[in-house]
Amino acid sequence: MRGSKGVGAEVTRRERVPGTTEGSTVDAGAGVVYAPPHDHWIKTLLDKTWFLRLVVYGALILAFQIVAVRQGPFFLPTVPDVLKGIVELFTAGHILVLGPTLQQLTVGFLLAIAIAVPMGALMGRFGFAEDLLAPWVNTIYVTSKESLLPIIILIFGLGFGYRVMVVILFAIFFPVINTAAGVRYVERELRETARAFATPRWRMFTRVYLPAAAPFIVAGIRMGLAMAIKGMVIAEIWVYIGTGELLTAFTLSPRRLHLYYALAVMIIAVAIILNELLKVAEQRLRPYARVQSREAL
Amino acid sequence: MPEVVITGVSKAFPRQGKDGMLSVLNDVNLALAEQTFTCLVGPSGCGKSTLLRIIDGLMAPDTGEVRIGGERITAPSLDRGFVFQHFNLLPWRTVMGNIEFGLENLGMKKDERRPRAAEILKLVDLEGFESYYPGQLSGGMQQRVGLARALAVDPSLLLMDEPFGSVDDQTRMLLQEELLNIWERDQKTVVFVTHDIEEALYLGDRVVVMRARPSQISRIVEVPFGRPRSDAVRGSPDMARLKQEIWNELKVGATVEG
Repeated sequence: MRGSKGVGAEVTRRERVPGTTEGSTVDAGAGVVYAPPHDHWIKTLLDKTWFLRLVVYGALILAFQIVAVRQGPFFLPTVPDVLKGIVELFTAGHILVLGPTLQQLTVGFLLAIAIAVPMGALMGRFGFAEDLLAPWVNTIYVTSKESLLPIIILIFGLGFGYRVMVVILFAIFFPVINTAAGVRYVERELRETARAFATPRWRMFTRVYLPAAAPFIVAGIRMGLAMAIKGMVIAEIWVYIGTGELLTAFTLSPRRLHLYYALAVMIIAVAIILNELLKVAEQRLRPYARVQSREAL
Repeated sequence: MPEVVITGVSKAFPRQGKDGMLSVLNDVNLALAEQTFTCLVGPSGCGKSTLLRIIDGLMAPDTGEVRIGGERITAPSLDRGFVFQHFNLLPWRTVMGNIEFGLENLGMKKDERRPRAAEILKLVDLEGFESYYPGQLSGGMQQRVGLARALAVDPSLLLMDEPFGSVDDQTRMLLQEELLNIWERDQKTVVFVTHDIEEALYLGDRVVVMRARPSQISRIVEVPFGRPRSDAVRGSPDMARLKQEIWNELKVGATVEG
């Protein structure tokens, strides 16, 4: 880092720290304000996230519309029809079906995390826990989880318990595997430091392993959320209840096909909102992550 | 209060990818009087960091033992402070949080910890940086935090493993000076590992010269400079002479591999 002469780009972090008394490594040229020539307007637009999103989503919607018009309403509703369908979901009260569905999703997802993180942490830390649990995790992880649904129905029936169990079954694996990996690869130096400061054995988890593995764990939880939503829909479609029942029913009649797409859009919207909420929660819990992503200050 | 007595300590590690063991320490005997500043100097790979870890209890010796104040060391304790070469700060904690780390393990409540940490923060000249994360600080500042973390628990023995080895020259000299100032205040017993001969002579009361594998103590130099010690000793004829002597000593056992 030190001594390189890149213009502007090599302003090291320490120089941004006010009041540093030492090690200031001001590069020649770092203080010079580099005025870029005016970019072409196309390049300026391409640097804007909103513009790129507009292009991507716009193209998708356009493609959908073109295919819908060519295929006819029997197979695909047009974009305006889907929008009308969304309004109809609200006016006809269909949207309320998402309430219980979201409830089971939330309960299942939270339970999955509550089981997955401690389990993964134990697997990452202790060889015996890894040896005991890894075969189960790996076997079910690669198995089609749908194939296990009949067993869950046998045990839990068709009620709330069944649906929550399916969500857990789908959601639990990524957080387990990621937490285990994150804890396993906590730097030797950090572990040694914690030991040197006489950290009690179990406190190592809360003070060192879990915070150190947090980026892995959060990634696992976000992937787990996607799986939880998948599990939620599958659980309901499988036994024909709740949102799953409606989705299935809408596909059976060409005149209600636009409602099927509208409901699918709403489920995607819920997923996106939950994902964003997770991001907010992450930033709250880990202010350090925010610092990292912004590099300095 | 510690008098550190190291008796017959040996340590060997498995060879990487080969059969057999690599003997790193071989029957090391050493006694350190309390409130003295001892520097261990030797080529890299001579086992000085290993010896420091054995003194702390982070590593168990294969044979022999370390006693501090008569008590045999079997595990790390907060009566000893450790400063690492690569700082080893917890990146998700602020400067303040890092300094409080050891205090938490002492079972101190938050309202006790804060004033204590603030006091140490001042001692290492980091006021105003309480809420910075390690990643936002220069190497020299990170090591000040490392030192503060070790000092915060008020250990009677301070163990430092090439603490200034990964900062630039000017910062290193400043930190050396500050370390001496801090040391003058309460004269803890310090064991300071370094491969920098001048650093060892500038800081220590005694310089223990170690030779490479299987390493043994080849010589102990009593440093003639008085205390409080000024920067001027760096340029003194004694410094030049002792540096040359120690280097001649080290050269004998030094290999390219080291």
